[in-house]
Amino acid sequence: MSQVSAEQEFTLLELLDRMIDRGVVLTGDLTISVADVDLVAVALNVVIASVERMAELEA
Amino acid sequence: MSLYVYAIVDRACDPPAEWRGLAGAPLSTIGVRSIAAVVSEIAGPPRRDTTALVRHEALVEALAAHHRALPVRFGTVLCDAGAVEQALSERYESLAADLVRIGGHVELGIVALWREDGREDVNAAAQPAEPASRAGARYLQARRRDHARASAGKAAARQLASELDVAVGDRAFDRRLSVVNEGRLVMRAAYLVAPADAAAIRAAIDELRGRRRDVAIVLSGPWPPYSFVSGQRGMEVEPIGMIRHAPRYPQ
Repeated sequence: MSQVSAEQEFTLLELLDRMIDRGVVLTGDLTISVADVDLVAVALNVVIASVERMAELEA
Repeated sequence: MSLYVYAIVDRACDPPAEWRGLAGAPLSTIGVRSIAAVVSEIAGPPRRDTTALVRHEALVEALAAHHRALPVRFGTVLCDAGAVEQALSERYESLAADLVRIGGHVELGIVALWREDGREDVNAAAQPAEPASRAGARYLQARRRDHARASAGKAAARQLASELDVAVGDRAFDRRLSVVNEGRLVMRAAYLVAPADAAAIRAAIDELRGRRRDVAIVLSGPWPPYSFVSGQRGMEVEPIGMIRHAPRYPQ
């Protein structure tokens, strides 16, 4: 995997982590936030993996 | 038809008519006193794909640049305009205060990981000199070694957080920090800054990278201030001891 794509993946997952786990919470009758708690954990793990790849490429 | 909510803005904010929301839907605002929600009609739950995420984010960023804005969590759908008004009314004081406090700012995200050789150095420093001769002693020594390793790692993570605070300096209005120190992950942080300061902070972090070759420091953003909306969980709100001045907020 190239450094560019690792950076893009990291950026997207950092964004995903913010968008579905933070920000203003309004009570909605339809929201995917609660159902996607597991997705946040998965996203965090992928963020760590992509940072590790970037660190290896930098070294 | 339900309403998808993107952001909370000042009541005076009037998004350009050509801006579009999810699935190309036109935008409208629903106001309560001095604030308003930017919404678009939606037939059901939003698609959970990259296109929808990027559209939501792009719109929040455009609103923030056009007029200060608070990002609403992705996937927030309310049944009608009355439900949006009620939600805004229930949280009015907090939302109006947050809009003034953070609405014109951006956040920079930082994730730091130990490089493999750096971690080994920390571990080597915690190794005892003498081998244990009995099982009980071996167990206690192992426990002590684990404890020393965890303490050294946590202290090293806090030291790095302090160095980041110094690098960002008084350009930060606020900071959220999570010292993790599990596996290779050292810490995650978010700094609330003025958009105009983002480039200078990036340069300061680059300089810190040059001095700290034992960690990989990765910066993301600038993002809308998702992490600084009131009532967030997960990231600790800690005193910013190493920042040269106390957090400053715009009037």
